[in-house]
Amino acid sequence: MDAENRKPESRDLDRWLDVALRERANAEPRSGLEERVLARLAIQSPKQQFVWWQMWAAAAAIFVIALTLSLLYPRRQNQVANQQPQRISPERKTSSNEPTVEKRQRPTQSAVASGRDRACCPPKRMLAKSTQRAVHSEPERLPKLASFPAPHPETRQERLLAMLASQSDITDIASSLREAAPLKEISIPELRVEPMEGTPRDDVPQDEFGRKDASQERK
Amino acid sequence: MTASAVAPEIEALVREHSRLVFRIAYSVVRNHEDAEDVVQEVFLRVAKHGVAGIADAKAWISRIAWRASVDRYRQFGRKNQEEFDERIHGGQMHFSGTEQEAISRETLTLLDRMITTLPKKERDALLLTSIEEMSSAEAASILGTTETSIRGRVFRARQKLAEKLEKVTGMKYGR
Repeated sequence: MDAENRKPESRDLDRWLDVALRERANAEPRSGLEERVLARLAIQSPKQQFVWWQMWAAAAAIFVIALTLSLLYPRRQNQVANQQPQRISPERKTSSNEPTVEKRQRPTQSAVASGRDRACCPPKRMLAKSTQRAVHSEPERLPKLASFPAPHPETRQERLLAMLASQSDITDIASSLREAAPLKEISIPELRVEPMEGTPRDDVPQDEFGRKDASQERK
Repeated sequence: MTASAVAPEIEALVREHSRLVFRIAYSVVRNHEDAEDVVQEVFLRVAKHGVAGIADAKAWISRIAWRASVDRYRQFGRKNQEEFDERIHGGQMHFSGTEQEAISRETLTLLDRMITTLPKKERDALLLTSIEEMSSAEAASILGTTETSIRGRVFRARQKLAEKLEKVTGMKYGR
């Protein structure tokens, strides 16, 4: 429809709409808008660049620290675990064959500590410190032994004897020996001791002090 | 602080397009302070992104401005819109002599409110095409549609406004 053929009311509406939209859309900014925007940009840009640079640097540093810690901590734990057996080794030498209480306890403690560390829980460092402290204080404490006194290592002879005992029952060996060579009856002749000269006879009565009665003796 | 700290290409964009950005922002947020904040935000984004590889800077900046304005409008909400509407409360309308005679302030206020009640697509098309520096093609590129679609939306928007005005005033605005 041509604008000239429209009704006057319609033309009015179009005009009003145009004016309303123009007023709405073509508002003028306050003077100095460009300067304000540029000033803001000048303030913000270097700051933001610095912040970005700083953030990257911080992130890199955190990554490096985390990597270092993750590499160092397992080694430390291994060192701690290695130190523990070395410190208890002198006692172990004496009781190598005995499954003592101490033998069972110490690896359990270290296993618990290392297990917690492996879980990477937040108090890892604290736990590690406490483990270290415990390691340092442990040598002062004497180990609790299952038997006292601690048995010495077996000698060669003892070991051979034990081997022999384990191979065949010793009672069987004894019985077989008895059968092979039966015991002879031993006859022991009666022992006679001749009285010495000058000694009183046994049938003479004695006084209370063990002296022989002289009158009786003369008879 | 001087503008020398800003890259020259950004400064050129600010000087060339800040008015357009302000108008786009004002058509949405209807408040000078908010529109100016949008302008600053738009050029901060432009400076952050850089202008390398931008073929049509005007269309690109207009698109950023439109999105920033819509975000700002959503942030403040429509509830407080009337409080900020300077055209209703500020009395800053500037008519030419003949227009001032023909159009009453009440009718303009009414039309303004009616525009805000239009469906979003039609309202957006109407607002963008009403900006002097903005062509239908540019409005279409901002809204991500075709120029024909923009024209159709504008036509429907105007029709709806006429119908609404008829209901309110009782006058016949047949087209």
